[in-house]
Order: sequence, then C-alpha cells, then structure tokens
Amino acid sequence: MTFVAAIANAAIAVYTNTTEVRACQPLDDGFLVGTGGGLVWTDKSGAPKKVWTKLDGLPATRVDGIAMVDGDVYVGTEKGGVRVKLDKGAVMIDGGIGGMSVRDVVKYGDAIYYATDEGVRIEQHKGPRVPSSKDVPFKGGGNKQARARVSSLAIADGALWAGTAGGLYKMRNGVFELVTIESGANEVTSLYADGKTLWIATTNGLYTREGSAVRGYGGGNLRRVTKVDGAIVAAGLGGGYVTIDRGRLVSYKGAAKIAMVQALTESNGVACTGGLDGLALRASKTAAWTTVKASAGIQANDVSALAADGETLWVGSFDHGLSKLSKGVWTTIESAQIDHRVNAILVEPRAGKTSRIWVATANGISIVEPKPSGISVSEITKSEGLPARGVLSLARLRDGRILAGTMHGAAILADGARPIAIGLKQNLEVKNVWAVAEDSQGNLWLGATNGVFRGKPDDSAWTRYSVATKHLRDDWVMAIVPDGAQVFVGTYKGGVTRFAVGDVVTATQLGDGWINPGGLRIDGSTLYASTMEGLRTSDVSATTWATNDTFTVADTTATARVGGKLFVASRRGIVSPAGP
Amino acid sequence: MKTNVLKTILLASLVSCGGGAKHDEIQGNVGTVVATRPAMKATLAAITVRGELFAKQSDTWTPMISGNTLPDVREVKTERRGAIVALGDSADAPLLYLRANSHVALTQDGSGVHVAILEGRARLRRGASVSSYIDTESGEVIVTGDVLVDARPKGRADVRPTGARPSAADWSFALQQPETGAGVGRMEARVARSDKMENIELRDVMVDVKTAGDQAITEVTHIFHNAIDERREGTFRFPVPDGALLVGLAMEIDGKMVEGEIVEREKARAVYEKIVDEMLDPALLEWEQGNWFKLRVFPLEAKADKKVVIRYVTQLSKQGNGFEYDYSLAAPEQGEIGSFHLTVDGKPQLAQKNIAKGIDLSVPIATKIPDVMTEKRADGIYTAVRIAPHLAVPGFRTSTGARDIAIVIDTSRSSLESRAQELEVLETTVRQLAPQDKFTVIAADVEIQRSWPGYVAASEQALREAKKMIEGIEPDGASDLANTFATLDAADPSQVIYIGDGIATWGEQRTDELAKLAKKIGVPVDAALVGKGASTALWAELSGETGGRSMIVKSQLDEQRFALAATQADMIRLTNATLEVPAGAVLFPSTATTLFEGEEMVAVMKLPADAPMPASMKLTGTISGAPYTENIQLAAAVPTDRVGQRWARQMLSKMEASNAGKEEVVALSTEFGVMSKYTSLLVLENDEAYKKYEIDRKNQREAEKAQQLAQATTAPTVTGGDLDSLGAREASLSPDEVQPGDPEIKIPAPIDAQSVVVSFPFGETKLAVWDTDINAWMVRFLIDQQTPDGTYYARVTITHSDGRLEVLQLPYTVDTKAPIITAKATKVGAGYHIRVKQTRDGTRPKDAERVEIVLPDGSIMKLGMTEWGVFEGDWTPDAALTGPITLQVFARDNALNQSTIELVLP
Repeated sequence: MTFVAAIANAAIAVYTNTTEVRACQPLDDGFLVGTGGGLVWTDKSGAPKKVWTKLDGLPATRVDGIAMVDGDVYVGTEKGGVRVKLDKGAVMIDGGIGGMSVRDVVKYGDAIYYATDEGVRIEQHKGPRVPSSKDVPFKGGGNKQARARVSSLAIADGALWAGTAGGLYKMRNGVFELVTIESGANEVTSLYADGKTLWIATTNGLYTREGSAVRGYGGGNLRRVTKVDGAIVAAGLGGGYVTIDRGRLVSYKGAAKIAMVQALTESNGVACTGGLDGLALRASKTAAWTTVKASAGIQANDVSALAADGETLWVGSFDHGLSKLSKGVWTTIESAQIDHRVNAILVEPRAGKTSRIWVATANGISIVEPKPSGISVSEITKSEGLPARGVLSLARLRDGRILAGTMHGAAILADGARPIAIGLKQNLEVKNVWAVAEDSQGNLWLGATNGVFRGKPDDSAWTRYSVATKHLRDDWVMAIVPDGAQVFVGTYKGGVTRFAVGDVVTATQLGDGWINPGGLRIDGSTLYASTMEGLRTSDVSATTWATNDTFTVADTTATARVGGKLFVASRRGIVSPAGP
Repeated sequence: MKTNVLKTILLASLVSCGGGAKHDEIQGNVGTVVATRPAMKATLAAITVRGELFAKQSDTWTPMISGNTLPDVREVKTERRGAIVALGDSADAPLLYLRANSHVALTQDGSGVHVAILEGRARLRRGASVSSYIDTESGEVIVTGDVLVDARPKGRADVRPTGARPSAADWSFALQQPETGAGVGRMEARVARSDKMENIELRDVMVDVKTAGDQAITEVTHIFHNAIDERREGTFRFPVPDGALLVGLAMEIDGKMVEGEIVEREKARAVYEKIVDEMLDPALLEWEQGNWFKLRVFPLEAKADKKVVIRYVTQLSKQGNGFEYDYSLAAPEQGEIGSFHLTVDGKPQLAQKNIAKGIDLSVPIATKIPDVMTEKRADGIYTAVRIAPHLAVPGFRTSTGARDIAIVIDTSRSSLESRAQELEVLETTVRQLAPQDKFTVIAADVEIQRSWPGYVAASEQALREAKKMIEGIEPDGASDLANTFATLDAADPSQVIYIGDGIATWGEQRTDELAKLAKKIGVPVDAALVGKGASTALWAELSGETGGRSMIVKSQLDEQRFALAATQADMIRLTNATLEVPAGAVLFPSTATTLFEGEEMVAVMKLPADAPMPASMKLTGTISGAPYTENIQLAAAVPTDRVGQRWARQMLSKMEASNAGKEEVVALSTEFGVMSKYTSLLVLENDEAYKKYEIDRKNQREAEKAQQLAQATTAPTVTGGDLDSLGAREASLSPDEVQPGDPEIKIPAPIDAQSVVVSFPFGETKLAVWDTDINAWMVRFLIDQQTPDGTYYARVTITHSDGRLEVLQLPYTVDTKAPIITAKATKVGAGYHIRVKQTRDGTRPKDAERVEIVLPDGSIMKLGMTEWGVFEGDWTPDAALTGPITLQVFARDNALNQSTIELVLP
C-alpha cells in the first residue's frame, strides 16, 4: 500500500512509502494504519483516503503505535504521541507529549500513561488547565538503557504493567519494579491483559503471568499479542500467527498472509494486521482476511540520492533500489544488475541521445540507459576493475568521463576502457572516498575520512586539506560541489567550507551542520545543503546560511529540481513545495 | 623441481632393485597415454569406502561399497569422503588411497598398473603382486615404496615419498582406522529413571575457523537439546584432532557464554563436585583417553538447549606449495545433526542440514602465510619462524642396495603396560619395509636377545617369529642403552629403529655420552617412543644427531606416521640440524633434529620484551657427511595470535619430560591457557562462583579483550563484535566496507532461509537480503544522530526453510566522544621523541587510530601506533629552534571523533 498524499493546503506534495505497517486500528468507517511513512486513513477495503505526516502536525512521520483509550485515538510517533480526532477528512490534534518515540498509551486511574523509548511518562489532567507530565521511576534490572525502551502497557489484576526491552515491570507505589519472567525472556514486545492473566509477548516466545505463576509457550520472536474473536493470538517476525489450543501453542488457522507481523488488532469482529510486508484486513468475524495490494509509488522512505533528468526524477533508496517519478507516475526499476543499496546517482546527458543514469551502489556501478522498449542496464564492478566493491560517490568530469569514489580510492571511468584507479599510485592515504569533484583548474577533489585531497591523476603527490591544516572543521568529508572558482566541501559534523581555488587555495568556513553524503548542490546562485537537521540554503557568495523555513524536514539527504519544482529527500520520504 | 628430484630417487631405486623396465622415456600428454593404454586388467577391490566410490568400466560408472570387486576398471573416483582400493584381488596388491573428491585413471600394460591422478589427491603403496606406476605429464614414475600424489593443472602431478612428510598423509591413515566420531562431540545423559545412557539430540554444529599464520583456531559450537521434561547431568565427549592443542571451552549459562578457566586438576574436580551438590551450573573438561576429552555438564535443563563450545589450535596442512585447512566429520554416532555450518576466515564453506554421513573437507588458504610470526606479551616477545633450508646435494643418490634394519624393542620393566603398542609399532614398521630390505629384532633391557643371527627378509613369517620372541620375554629389569648401542654397533645395520619409552635407567645415562655411542654406529637412528613415561628428552638428541627422527607415538595414526617416516624417506637429509640460539632467547627445537629435503621446520622462541628481533638465524648440520651452514635472513615479523601458546606448549612438553614440579607446570599452563597433564578446564556459573573458589578469570578476560580489540579495529561510530552471547551462528558488522552512520550487518544464515529479520533497539525492523557476492544475508541500517553513546543490541531472527526460528543478538557500540590524549616530548640528541597516549575514558576501549602532529613549518607528521592507545615518533628540526615551540597534536579514533591538544617542546 503506497500512496502520495497531497495535504490539505496543497503547498507541499509529500511522497512516502506506507508499506511497513507498525500499528493499526479498526474504525467505524475504515481503518487507521500507522506506517513508516505516516498515519493512513483507509476505507473498509483498505484503500487510502488520507495520509498524514509530520507536515500535517504529527510529531513525526513514522508512526510507532496506535491505541484506543476511552474511545479516543492516540497516535504514537517516533518523536511523540498525540490524541487525534478524525473529522471530515482532517486530523485534529489534541494534547500529547513530544520528543520521544511513543509505542503505547493506557489510562490508569485518572492519568494517561505513555510507553516511550525513554521510559513511561504520566500525563495527569487536574482541572481544565494544561496537563502536567512526569516520568515514572523504574527500579531493578541492570540495563537502564534497555528498560527505558517501553513497548507496551497493560492493566492486569488491577495493576499497571510495563513491558520493556529490559524485562517486565509492575508498578507498585508509583514505581515500576522488575518482575522476573524467565531466563532469556528479557525483551517484552507486547502485553495483553485478560482479567487476572497478563499475556506477555517477548522476543523469546509467549508467556503468561497470573499472580506469581509464570508459564512459557514458546513461539520465537513475537511482536504482538491480543485477543481475536475471544482467543489469544500472537504473531511476530517470521513465525506467522499462533494461538493457544488446550494449553499448547498452535498455528492460528485462517490467519492473514503476513509473515513479518508488527500489528494486530480486532474490534467487534473487524480486524487488521500488518508488518514489514504490508497490510491485511478482515471485514467481520466470518469474513476471510484479505491482503491490501500495494500501489506504485516511492519504494522506500530512506531516500539516499536524487537526480534530475529533464522531467524525470530519479530516486535512489538506502536499501530498496532505484525508482523514478516521471509525469506524476512512479516506476520501480527492477533489474538484477542494480544492487538495492544505492549511494549516489548521476545523470550523464548525451547529445542526440537519452541520458544515461549512473547508479553507485554497495556493489559497484549500474548504468541505466532508457530505451524505447524499456531500459538496458550494464554494470561496472570490481571484476571490471573498480578498486572496490562499494561505490560511494560520482561526478562527471569536464572531458565527459566519470569519476567514482569507492571504498578503496577513486577511479576514472570511460566507455570501452578499464577504470583508471586513483589511490596508491598517487600515494594517497585514502580508503572510503565519500565525495568527488573536479574544479575549474582540472584538479580532482576526493573527500575521504581524513580530509579532502586535491590533485591530478598523473600527480604523484596530492595536496591534503584537513583539520590539521586548518582548512576544515571535521576531516570526514561527505560532499563536494564545485562552482566556478569555488569548491564547497561539506563534512560530517563540521558544516561547509568554501575553498577559493587559485594560485593559493584559501578556505572559508560557512555555517555549521551535519552534512549528509552527497548532500551539497548548487542551484543557480543558491547552495543547498542537506543536513541531518534539515535543508539549509545560502547564496554561493554569502558566508552564512539559513535553514529553509518553507518546510522543515529532518535528516535531509538530497535535493533536485525537476520541471522547475524542488524535490527534497529525507529519511522519511520526499517532499516538494508547490512554489520554486 | 621436487618432482624431478623424487623421480631421480625412485628411478635410482628401480635400477637398483632391477625390477621392470625403465619407463621414463614415455612422454606426452597423460590423457593420450591413458586413452591408448588398455584398462586395468587386475581386479579393483574396494577395501574401505567412507563416502561414495565409483568405478568406470567402458562408459559406465558403477558405485562400489567396501568388499566389492570389479574387473576392467578405467577410472575410479570418490565423493564426499575418501576410500582405499586394492589394485588387484590378492593380499599383496598395491593399495591406492583416494582422498575425498579425487579422480584417477587406471590402466595396465605389460609392465604393470598405471595410475594417473586427474583430480584431487592419492597415496599409492607398492604391492608385490604387480608393479605400479604414477603417470605424469613428463613421464611415469615407478613406485617402489609409498608415495603421495597431488593433481596439478594440465596433467602434471606432484609425487613425493610419503615418509618425507608423513603428516601430509594423515587423511590416508585415518581411512585405515575405525571411525571414532571425529569432528564433533556427543552428549550422553541417563534415561529418566534408568541406569541406561542415551545420546542427547545435537541440533546444530557451527565450526568457525580462523587462521593465524600457519595455525588454525577452530571453534566448534554444539547446540544440544534435552528433549525430556527432566533436568539431567550430561557427559559431553569431544575428539580433539590428532596433534591439536585444546585452548578453550565455553558454555552457555543463562543466555551468556561463560569461558572456562584452566585450573589445577584436583582443585577443579573438587569445585565441580561441590557445585553439583549445590545444583548450580558447572562444567568440567578433562582428558579421557587418546584424543578424547570429557566434559561433565550440569544441568541440562528440561526441554531446553545447551550450547557448548570447544576451541582448539591445529597446524595448517602443507600441501605442495600452499597450505590448507582440513576438517573431517565422521558419520555422527548420535543420530542426525540438525544443521552443520563451517566457515573459514569468515567465508562459509559448507552448510548442510540433517547430516547423517561423514564429510571430509580441505579448504585451501588463500592468504600468504608469513615466514616470521610474532606475538608480544607482557613477559616477552614470542616468535615463530618457518625454516625450509635448501638441501640440494649435487649427484645425490639414495641407497642402492637392500637395507639391514635393526629394530630394538625395549623389554625393560617400564614396557609392561606398553608391550602391546610396541608390538603394533613393530608390525606396522616391518610391513612398510621394501621387499629388498632385511631386518632383525633386538630385545633390550639390561640384557640383549636377538631374534636371529644376521638379517632376514621382511616376511610375515619373520614378523611372527619376532613377535613371538618379544612376547616370550617378561618385561623386567632396567634399560641399558649403552649396552644396546654396543650390540647395534657390532650388528652393522644400515638403519636402527628403536621402540620403547626412550629412557635409560642402567649404565650410562648421560645424554652426550649416549649420543656419542649412537653416532658411533654411523647410521640413522629412528625412535618410536611409546608408553606413559615416553620421553623425547634423550631421543630427540640421539635421533637428530644421527639423521633419524624420534616421535612420541600414542595413536595408530602416530604409528603409521612413524613407520612411513622411518622406512619411506630415502631422501637428502640434514642431520644434526641445530639452530643457534639468539642472545636471551629460549628456543625450540632445543635439540638437534633431522630435516628432510622439502621439509619445513618451525622454530619458536621467546625473547625478552626489550630485546631486538634477530636479523637472521644460523642453521648448522651435516648433509651426506659434509658440514652445512645457512644463515637464514628473517623477514619482517607479522603479528600473529597464539604464538605464545605455541611456545608454551613446547615448554610444557619439555617440563613434563624433565619431571618439572607440578606447581611450575600448572603456573605455565594457566598463564598461557594451554592444558597440561595437571590441569582441567572448568566453567562456573558466574563471576561470584569464580571468586568464591579463587579461580582467576583469565580466559574470560582474554575473550573480552579480544572482543574489545575487534571493536577497536572495526568501523568507526559503530563498532561491533561477533554475535556470540545468544547466537548459534555468527552475525557481524562489516566494518571494512562501511563507514559510520550506515553500517551493514552480515548474517551467514543459510541461503534457503525463509527470512532473516533484523530488529534494532531504536524501533526499526529490516529484512536482510541475500548477497550473492558475499554469500551471506546483508542488511544496512542507520543510526540516528541523537543516539546516545553506549552499547546496543540488534536482534536477528532467522526463519529457516523448515520453519524453525533462530534468534541471535549482535552488539554494537555508538561512540561520539573524542579520544582523550596526553602528549610528551623528550629531547633526544638534536631532535625530539614524541609520545602521545590515549587515556582510558570509563570502560571504553582505547580506540585512537591516528595521531598527527603539525610541525612548525606547517607540514604534518603522522605518529606510529606502538601499542593500543600509544603513538610515537621522532622529529629532528632542520634548523635549531628558537623560543618556546608549541605543536598541535590531532588524534582521531575509530569512530572518526577528533581531539586536539597542544604540546610545548622542552
């Protein structure tokens, strides 16, 4: 299930992938589905009606949990949880907590308890004023980091229980105290309270606790336990769905065809489930489960590279391959010759011909050539002479050849010729070359983890610019982009440095920031910097920059302009503002 | 080159014995010869078939099992495991030993049977019934004794006498012996409410091999499953391969792997018994018999798995010009093994399910084995040097006539318990003699008895008579070796073979004096040292000085090796080979030895921590009576694991042979983690238990240190060790290929797994994808910028093809802190010695990987790492410095965190 959500004000188009289902909830008129690409409201058949993301006011785009509390819907995201109301196609946000991943919400007494990745937060409403919130202390368990990752909350036998990555906790006198389940069953992923019995799903199987009695059933790496049609059903990663029959764990008959289950909820016979491999729904107790068919779209939210080729936007993902958006239509490029781990994309324009698309991956370079009948793909790998398997960066040289940064130096590539390696011969002490470029004087620039190196292929000694030479604020170079007599160098955590290239090379430090790989681009007179804190822009001649306040997208990875429209990629999809 | 020398020798033998025609004029392609010559007329008899054996008649391949015979066979091949076939159906037919996955062509003409190796490896032992030849691209070689043959490209073959390096033929000796469950251990436990024992199901076996120089560290992980609803005590038995050094034991307790510690044997036993009484989790590993070690494990929880890990070190097998790792898995006696995986240096070599049959594997080692390997420890530098002298002798000819071999059997009181083995060695040795050889047997204690005057041919009848004589002598009296040597001198033999415990207890007992008497005989003296008290202390010297070899013989494999080495090594040899001991070194071999042409000696020495590595070592000896000296230039030493243990093993042997005090032996054994006759490996439940019984957790520390070191050398920002705490199989980050921020995890789950899912603590779950290039499941992941420093665990869930789930954990560390460093400059002459040291930050390992200094002229000097966290270098200014000079020091850690400090020069 993948779709494009153009939100209400239509100022920004949002492209996310909603295949991965992390939570779901049946509603009267459809389903609410929490995905890696936002909160999806579907009709009864699973067809999407709306997708809400951070740009709609959710604390974050990735949804980690959905809970019904006294008839209210709570949505937990990776950066906070909120109470939402669905009203005529709009989502109204009403209260909640921010800043941390929220996986579950319950009401215990008069307070709302949030299961977060930083412990359990309690929100109390005392009167009409803004609620106060505080963390519930934990006691016991050696690994504080693990016990802080709370996956679920449940009220069994009158007590509040918290399932954490560091074990099971029971609240006594306002403090969560560790309760032993069984050796090896330390990571609780889901709880379900059934009167006095607490059902405990763990990464090591299913357990019950009733009073002080604990019983184990097995079942492997489980992610969710709940009741479906009055019977306990658990599911997880790889093992499918299981239930209890005469005290033994057995396969759940008639289960949905989801193998990597992360979500399962039933309400009045209507049920939904989902996981890494999508969403399945059941309209009533007597109906069969149906798998919701995925539609074409962006193939993953982790976008690692963008490139513009006329009216086509080429999109590379971190670990889901290559796709393109052309005239509003998404196409996934299926080819065994393109590794699914894309690091960079380069468009090579060719006179009188269609452009070629160079795709740098963890397993070499794939060259995609669009043809009337489809595409043809060829590969350049280590077998063909690349210095390393992994290719991290690409640049086109002025003579038309391609410069590739690999995991063991760089290489110059030309049709019909074996790659020319750059590294040992030039006495360069570089391993991973994260960025490559050519300056106006024909010098090559290689960005590595120990600074940036400048020289020509035939030079036996190159010049290194680094923290020690006072040219950079961080030696780990992630991006290089030339602009006339200037070269901009972006580093992992030292922002961008502008080099003026002449007889003497000088460096000026621009703003700070954490630059992502290949994250610099010149667009006219504007420098776009994709940083972990979002998109930043600057006039190429300016000495400072500003965060782009048109929209805020964390962890921006790349930008491109197609048909006059700017596309901004991040770890949570692509956005494109309506204006320039 | 070696083949040519060998051929010369063998052809010389041929001429001397006068049998058959000279066949070296046959030239041309082996295939052509094989195609034109008729198939073997002699019946092919399958003697032992361990895997699958196929014989080809005309165009049809026929499977054969032990006991089958077939006429007119043209080719024969083995699959999975090896086989022995006889080239003829008579008792004295030539024997052909075929290694797993070997293929040979068999033809016959008027001169005899011809064997051409097409693929793999074989050993051919001559037989009296028909002459046998090895066909090679450059001609053929008549086999007058026992040879090893390796297939080489383009029809070439490497042929060499088996006796020159008997260890290379171990695989063939193993075929002659009953299967004893090699490769994996088995666990037994009592059947509920019964005295009967039953095998515990072995669900998984993971063999993880890491090479270190010319050694291999093999870690065998067993996962047993106690299927009944009752807690039990198990007995685990493991056959350590012949010659292996047992170095580790670990057991899973409460989901964590706990390393065993080497403890004095009696104490270990007492602690174990006490803990069993307290119903806690101990395990005690002791030597049982032969190569078998026994581990008592308690408890085997009801319906639960138990993971036991055994670790041992073996020598890589030298084959031709390269090395290989050999692994044999016998058909499991305990029923099927659920799944089996073997990796060598991280590369999967074999993955199979439901193993019911044995497997033989030979994995070539692609990496170059260094000539000089070193390990720095706190108490010194341990170095192993591979020495392969060039022993060419122009015009060398092997013995041309029949040999008169005097075989001495120790019949003194000390041979009481080893008499049966002495007779086995006698029998094996006599059966290896060439038809022209003659022998006599001398029973020696304080008196001498001789089987017969003079020497007789090595017939079965003569062997029976000799054995009867020995059996008729009651083991009694002392051992007067001086008297024995005098008798031997008078007997005028061409070779002496001694079988006994090797200890002189009467008359002359001084090593140097006995060595003089042995040398006076003027022939090679070989010694098979048998029995509980067997010692090489004396005989290493005696054999080495005479050009013979001495071996402690414990197993039938040893007997085979010895017999071949003593009877089938008629080649150039360096007698009295002695290495000059570098100043301050403790060197092994510490006595003279014998080196054969093409053979390699590994010298192991300990040098003081501050001593320089010698540039060369001097090897002296005698070849064919002429003095020999070679200065062996030492290549740059390559840091290699476990060289210290290698030295300690030799030292322990020496100490045990010289009856060193128990305390000394235990101290060395525990210090180096090498088992001795006075120590056991003990696993206790937790730190408290070790503390309570005052057992130092040395192995645990070493394991943790190794993990830290692995972390320190792996990827920046995210570093991860091998998954071992829960994992049956190793999952690992791939630091060589990934930089911080987006590491990859490699999971060597089987290719047919339904899915491999990796869940990260920060809420992300990813599906791994099979990578055909790496032959493993891979997944990439991101680490959020805000992730706090610390160690995290990724959880790997493998759904196997049969639906079985396997859950593993992979730890990784997020590190954003810059290294804390201090710097010091010391004036040395006109320059400075600069030392930068990383200060430990909490429990974090020292992980600085690069330190640079910016010099006053702006140039940058990189300091070298001299130990973890310490960087040093020397700088001499071009001109005298004026005024106070401050240098900038930059340090970077594995996570690419950087720090800067200033260093003011004195």
